[in-house]
Amino acid sequence: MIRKNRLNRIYLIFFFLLSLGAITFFSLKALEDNIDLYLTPTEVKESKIQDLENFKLGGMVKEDSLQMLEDLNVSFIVTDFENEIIVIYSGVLPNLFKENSGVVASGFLSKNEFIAYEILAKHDENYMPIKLEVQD
Amino acid sequence: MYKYVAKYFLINRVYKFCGATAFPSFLIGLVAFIFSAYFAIYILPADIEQNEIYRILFIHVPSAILSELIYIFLAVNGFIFLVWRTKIAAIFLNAAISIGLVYTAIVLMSGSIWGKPTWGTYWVWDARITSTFILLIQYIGLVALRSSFNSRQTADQILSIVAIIGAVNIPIIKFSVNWWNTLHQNASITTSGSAIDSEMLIALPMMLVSLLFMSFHIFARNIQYEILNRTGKTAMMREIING
Repeated sequence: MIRKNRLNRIYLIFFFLLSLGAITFFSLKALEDNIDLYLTPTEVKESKIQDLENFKLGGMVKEDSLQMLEDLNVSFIVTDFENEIIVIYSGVLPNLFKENSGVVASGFLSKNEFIAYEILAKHDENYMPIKLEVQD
Repeated sequence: MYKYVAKYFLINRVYKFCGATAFPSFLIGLVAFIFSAYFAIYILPADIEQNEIYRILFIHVPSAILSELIYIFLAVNGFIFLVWRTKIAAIFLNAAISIGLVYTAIVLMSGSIWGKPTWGTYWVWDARITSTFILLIQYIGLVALRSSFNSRQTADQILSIVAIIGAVNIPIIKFSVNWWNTLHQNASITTSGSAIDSEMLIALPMMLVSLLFMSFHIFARNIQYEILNRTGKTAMMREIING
């Protein structure tokens, strides 16, 4: 049998942890919008973000939307499969950047186009081995 | 129940056990580490998207698992110490802090190095990375607290309380990628299986086991240090030390 004073301490610690958990839960809940790293195109459409206001846009690069313009300029479409935003960027793209893959762009809206100054590639959790094709 | 468990954790028994197992555990860990590192670097195929750079996973993921497991271990020992006032739990707690600190530092550094060629940045303040950074600060705080008190009893109690409070961060780290939009990808290994191809997975448990053995070596030596520091002057311990 567990002694009375020990049992009291166990109750005390569990009550303590429970209230601590509740505090953390509600503060994180309140800060939810600030903790998210990026906004999806749908969230951008719903919120009233003004032109030239800095934020991060995240989503998938739409298939066949990547266009290489002159110099290092590129344009592509970021989609969350509901809404789309055209992104224009000038600079070097990260290695894992490609169509049908995740992307997080920092920049601002200008005339419904997103002008990015930094592009980060988001990769998924899948790992597959390269199958080297043997050629005779 | 308490008496049944407690007799295996008598201070002199633990001291002897640690002394006997520390070095063999280091040897096993080292051999397993060399073996699994060779496997991870040379034998396993490259990844279809990330190519060779994905191999950093085999140090990043085991360290991440260990940094969190060790923190849970600290909190559990803190709980046991606060409830049952057993010295050995406080000794375990003190001995494990520095190991967890090192693993958390390794996770952040290897993740940084991995992030630059894949994501395009060393650091981004997303939920996963920020919460892991907070874990690092928690470990640093515990290390600082350890030596901030004159009375060992007070130090142990404060350490236990702080360790239990900090445990709130562990589920946040674990579920950060599900709860919020992050740059960090979701967990590859879940209850529904592994998103890492089975051909590439093998080095991960090997590496985890080798790191466990090597950390146990340091853990055992830390325990011995703690025991000597606390009870080294008693007749019982003198007897053990002098053989």
